[in-house]
Amino acid sequence: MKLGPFPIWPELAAREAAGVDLVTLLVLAICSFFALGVLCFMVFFLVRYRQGSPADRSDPPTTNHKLEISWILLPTLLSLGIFWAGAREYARLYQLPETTDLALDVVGKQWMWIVHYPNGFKEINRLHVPLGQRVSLRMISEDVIHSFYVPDFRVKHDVLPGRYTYLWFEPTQVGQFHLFCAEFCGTSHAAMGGWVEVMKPEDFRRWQEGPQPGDPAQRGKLLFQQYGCQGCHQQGQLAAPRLENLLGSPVTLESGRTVVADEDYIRRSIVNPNADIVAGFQALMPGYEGRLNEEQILDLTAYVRTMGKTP
Amino acid sequence: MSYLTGPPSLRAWLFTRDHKRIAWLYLITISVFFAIGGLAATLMRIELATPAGDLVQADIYNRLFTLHGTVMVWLFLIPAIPNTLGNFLLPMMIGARDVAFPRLNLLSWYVFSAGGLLVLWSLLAGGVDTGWTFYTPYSSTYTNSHVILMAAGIFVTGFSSIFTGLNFMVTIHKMRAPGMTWFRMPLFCWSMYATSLIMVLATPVLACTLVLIAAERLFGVGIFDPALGGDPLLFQHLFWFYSHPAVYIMILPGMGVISEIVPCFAGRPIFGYSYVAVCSMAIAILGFLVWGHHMFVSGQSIYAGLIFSFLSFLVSVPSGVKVFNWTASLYKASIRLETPMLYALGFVGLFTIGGLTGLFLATLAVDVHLHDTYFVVAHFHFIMVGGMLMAYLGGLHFWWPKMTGRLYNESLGKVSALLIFLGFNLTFMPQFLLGYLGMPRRYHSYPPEFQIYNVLSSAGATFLAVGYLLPLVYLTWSLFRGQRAEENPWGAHSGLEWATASPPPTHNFREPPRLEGQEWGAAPLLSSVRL
Repeated sequence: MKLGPFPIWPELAAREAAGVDLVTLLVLAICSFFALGVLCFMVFFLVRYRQGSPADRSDPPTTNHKLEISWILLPTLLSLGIFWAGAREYARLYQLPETTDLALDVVGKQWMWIVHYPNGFKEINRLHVPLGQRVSLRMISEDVIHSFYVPDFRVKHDVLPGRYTYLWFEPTQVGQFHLFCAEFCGTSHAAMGGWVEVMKPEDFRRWQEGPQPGDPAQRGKLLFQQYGCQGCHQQGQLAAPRLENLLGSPVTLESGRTVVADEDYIRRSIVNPNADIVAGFQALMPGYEGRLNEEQILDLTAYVRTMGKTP
Repeated sequence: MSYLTGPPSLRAWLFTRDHKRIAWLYLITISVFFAIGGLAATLMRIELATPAGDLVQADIYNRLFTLHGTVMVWLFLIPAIPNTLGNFLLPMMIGARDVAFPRLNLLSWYVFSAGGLLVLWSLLAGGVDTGWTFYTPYSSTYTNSHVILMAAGIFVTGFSSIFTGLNFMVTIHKMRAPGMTWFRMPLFCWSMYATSLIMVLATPVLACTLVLIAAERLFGVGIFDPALGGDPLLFQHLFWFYSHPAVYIMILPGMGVISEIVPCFAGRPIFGYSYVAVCSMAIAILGFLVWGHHMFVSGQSIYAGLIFSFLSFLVSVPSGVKVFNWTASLYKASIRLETPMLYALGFVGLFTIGGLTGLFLATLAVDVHLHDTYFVVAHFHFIMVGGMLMAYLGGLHFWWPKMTGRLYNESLGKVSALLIFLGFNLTFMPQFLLGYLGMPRRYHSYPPEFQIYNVLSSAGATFLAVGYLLPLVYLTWSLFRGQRAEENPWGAHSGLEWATASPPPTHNFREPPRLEGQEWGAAPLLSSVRL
């Protein structure tokens, strides 16, 4: 929800989000009551009892047990009410339902999310999920603690090394929603995110059937995601050169040379990236010699060719 | 002969055992650390003005927020009031000549400074990028920054906390003047007692935890890293067992200051004295039972979450009771809005918001959404900066005439109080919204839809910076050119410190004070003092 240029409320894109928001509004109402109450009394006293005002100041009371007891009891009771509302919703968020429609495995590692589908698909920093179906996640970390967070679903859970944690949600809105890592996990913590893409069930089925045969760019895109290339190349994180409109354009290298990024350059940069480091970047990328066959490199190159061009 | 006169040699200051001079040593030291922490915050706010990571790269940003958190928590907020105002005032308020162990008091400053230097060394060596929370296994196994050095610094400063806490507790137990019963002590002393209790009981746990990190990092002993057979959640339990009570180390002294300022400028005794006093103790004790509310999404059991949430709601009640009593103290009052009172009123407002937003985070389901977002950042800055820092500055202005014997420029004081209040709100209010929208903390770059609130926040930080620089200028100026202050320039009535000269003599009182007459509350304390 937006008010002019100001976003004021996140999307409600999952079934449990409404319950959480309701509890938030309850807390907000009770807190506003107390905050405004204190403010009103304070302003009233400040005006009425400012020095020199003619107000009656005889025998200012220094203690009143009834008043004290009541402002101990009232907040206690109200806060127990909030506690109960929050606890009920918490149990719902964190207890897996008996049956789910899609069970995914999520592995967090510095600094990407790897998602495994029951049919063997693997995605990086992106989850495709069907609308209106219960999706459960079994999560584990390969290194440090991460936290899987989708604000528009109001769900978050830490992802620990050495132990599974679980989360579930039921998307109620088609679209793309931010996925963040919420637990600080090292250098590129802020880049360890991506998107949850909610699709209509029929679109999801089509997506699960895989890319159309004969479209190398589609196959390349899948490879690009599978190998986590976009973790550095596509998030505007500046860890690696951007690839949009790269093919055919001149590139200045660290050595000071300028080369034209043709298909050979792309291939060389995949197989042996340290041969030509682009000016201003570090030698971070591992070489893919022997890990990708020539067909796959062709598919990737086809995908890079489409980047930056609107389909 | 005031405590400030005498040979102006460095030696006389560095080997002093006078609690009032040690207060100054601390004041100068923590001001330097506040400037360093503030500089780191400034760089972060400039970086966050745009969504891309352009001013600094991720690694630098991560070091900046770690530095900001570590320095502000351990080298500024924790010692801020206890070791400066507390050191200066506590013995005087109870009518004593000094603290119980003056040498230990001086040692605590040396230990603190040594720890601080170690932290600075870790900064010069290349910094630490774990955040002030040092979560494992990142801190113990994965990061290659200077964790050991910084942890050693914090370990050492911890001893200065323990020394001070111990010293204050013994002082309050054993050195009260004749007639100074527990329920006649100024409320500031109660808050110091509660704070000391936490310092003495919680700090050793932090020390042990830091040693365990070092053991895992240096010798590969498997404690926290599952790869070595450890449990990463164990660290969080140990860390928050100290660090949640430490939050109360950082706010109880502020509450004590406010409980002195409000009755003074209201021109009447505080409302509900004994309730405010007992609430300080209740906060200190209950504060030990709520650490698990930092771990609702960490993977601790749902049932643990339920218990910690329940207890967290209980700990909010005594803080609320204090706010109600401060407000009620304005009833039938004669209110003067001088600089310390402006800070105190600002404190009450900001602390109320900070406390109430804590309820959102204590609410289990809401915390699942808000945990580790900017909502948390805004919440604890309302308590730490809106609360504690406002109280510290308010207290500094309130007791400045007593400490220095000089008055500062009142108009500039008011301007700075207002500037800080407005700047603070502009800086941190937008962060509540950012948090509910889902912006995680510790991100140097972020999606562009969050920019508008980050720009507002950075703009507010500019005002805040000016607001903090102003007192530095006019307070320093007043040291040399300020008008001379009399014994009790504000007409205060709740503490013995106002019954002696400004600045006080070395032994605080010309004769040991003796209290006669009624219990506190019925009549202002000063009227019953015989010197």
